[in-house]
Amino acid sequence: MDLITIASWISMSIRLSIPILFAALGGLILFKTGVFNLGLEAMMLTGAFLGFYGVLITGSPWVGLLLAIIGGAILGLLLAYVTVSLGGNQLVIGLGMNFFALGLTGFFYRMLCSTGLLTDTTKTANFSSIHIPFFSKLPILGEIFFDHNFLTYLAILLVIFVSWFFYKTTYGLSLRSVGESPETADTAGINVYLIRYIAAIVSGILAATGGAFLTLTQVTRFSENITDGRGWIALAVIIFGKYKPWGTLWASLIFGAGFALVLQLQVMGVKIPIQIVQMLPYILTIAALIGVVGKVRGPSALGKHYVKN
Amino acid sequence: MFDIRSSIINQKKYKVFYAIIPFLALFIALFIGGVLIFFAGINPWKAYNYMLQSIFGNIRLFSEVFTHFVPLVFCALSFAVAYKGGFFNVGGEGQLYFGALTATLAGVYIQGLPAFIHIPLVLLTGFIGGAFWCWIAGILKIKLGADEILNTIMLSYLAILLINFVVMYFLKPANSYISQSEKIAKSAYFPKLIPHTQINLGVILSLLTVIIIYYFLYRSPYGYQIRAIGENSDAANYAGMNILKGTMTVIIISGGLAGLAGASMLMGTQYRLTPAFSPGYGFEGIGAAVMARNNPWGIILTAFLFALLRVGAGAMQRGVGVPLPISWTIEGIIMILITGSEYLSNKFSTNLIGGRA
Repeated sequence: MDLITIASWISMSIRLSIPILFAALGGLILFKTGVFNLGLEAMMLTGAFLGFYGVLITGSPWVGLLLAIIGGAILGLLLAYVTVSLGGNQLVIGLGMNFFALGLTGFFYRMLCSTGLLTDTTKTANFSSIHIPFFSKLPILGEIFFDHNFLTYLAILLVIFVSWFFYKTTYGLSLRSVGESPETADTAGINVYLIRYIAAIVSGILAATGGAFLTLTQVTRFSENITDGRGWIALAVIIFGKYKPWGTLWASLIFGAGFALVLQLQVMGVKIPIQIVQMLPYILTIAALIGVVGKVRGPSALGKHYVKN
Repeated sequence: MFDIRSSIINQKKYKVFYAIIPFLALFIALFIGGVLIFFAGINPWKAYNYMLQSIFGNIRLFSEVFTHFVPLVFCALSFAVAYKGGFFNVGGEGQLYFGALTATLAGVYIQGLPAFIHIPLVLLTGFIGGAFWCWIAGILKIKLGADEILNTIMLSYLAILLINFVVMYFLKPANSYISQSEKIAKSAYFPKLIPHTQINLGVILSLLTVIIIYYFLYRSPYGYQIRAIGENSDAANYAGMNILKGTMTVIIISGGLAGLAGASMLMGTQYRLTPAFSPGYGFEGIGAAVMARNNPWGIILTAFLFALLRVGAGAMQRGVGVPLPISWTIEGIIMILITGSEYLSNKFSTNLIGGRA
């Protein structure tokens, strides 16, 4: 492989990992408060569809992003209401939401097709790359690091922000204490329910943004089940990243690099069993779960319903 | 003063209400589905009517319901048994695939057996395959402390890719371009109960399994232990039960049942292993189990309902143009509603004497 191929491989790795990173960060925030989010796939899919719908109707990707964010927030709110207020099973609600989103987005997508609003040649606008002055002109490095759309830079900034928020602010401390011991947090005057609600809504917004990234920057076209398991990869990223913001960044980059490698090799006509590479995230995650890469410890109260006395 | 009479009446009232919730959820989900169909410019009443008429007025379509019913029953039972034993098995889909793989090996490479030996043999290998894949999840949890919810999901996706790989590189006949295994031997085909339909031996086997699982869970001392472990493992331990052995048994049975789903699909309808072998029965089975509140008898109803919705959505699409994904939507809404209503049933059950419904 020559330098240019490697540059385009790294660049592609970044592009493929950003949607997963968004969802993983969203998932992480909710996990940290002690609530499972198995609905990441649903939130991403909803974001992907609404993003596409928005840009299709208005021609503006910003409207698409806004719709995606609203959709994600609604799903987050639903998740919070059922699990936090009603005490429903955190895992089953996630699975149910996945069915619901898969069905609903597919339903509306087929409606768009049948009404003729959408044809095979429909092209929608998208967020184009921001060419950072001077830096994007750098040979090789320019393509790798300074020629992405704004959502990519936003995702990286979010990692920094979330890390700072978790470990350097009192709000972050409250959030983590809710996930470790809601009883203690409650005694200390922290509103457990409110924090979980907010985290769920933010979780939905971020995951939906990750989904919208797919239809607003890359393929600019929705197709049924376009997320294709990325929500579950995001779950793997959270664990492999040891429930830490920076960890999720590295984990999604590693997984993204793997997927990019598969695509690159296919283009080059190298015949390797792609399934082997596709299996890697799951194998690595299981390895992380059994402690091969050091102790991975989730929040103590993860999955437990908290009843306020 | 404690009034025993009114308490018993209340119990009955609660039990009725508890049983009504799934039907209520179905009704609401169908209603929301109807609103969606209306948005698509189709009369929902006509659409639902068309669905029922075409299924119950056409033996071919009606029999198609059973191709979904059989794997759904097995997958739902798989989830329910594990749940009762305190093991949250979300990986039914992967165990189904693994069971289908081992069953394919026994069905394709063992030839010349009479059907009455070959059929049980292939079923058994399917059971073992699914059980093996779930056993890995169990070992990871029990010996290495890996949370089963996460590791069953990861193992599930791993299994699907693994089977994909095995089919493409090992099971595919050398002269074929399509990535699929050879057909299993005719002697491993399920005999049809009604000729020229999809109603085969699998239907009887799935119903028989429901009965067995019911008696195992609720009428055998071992099942009682397993449920005790599931409800409160500390108390069960204190009572002298072997938690490790009980949990492992549950894991093996649960995985095996998912494996049987794969084997029954192979022997009843598909006859060969393909990369996209299951359209998500493992996950849908969880939905059916949740709606039935993990009750084996209830699973017969809910699995039938989910199968009906699948076939019905296809009929509605062909007949009146309702987009097919309506069935996922309705199932999703049912799952969300049932999950959201859990607090109602918990409230009722704590009101009952002994705290059990």
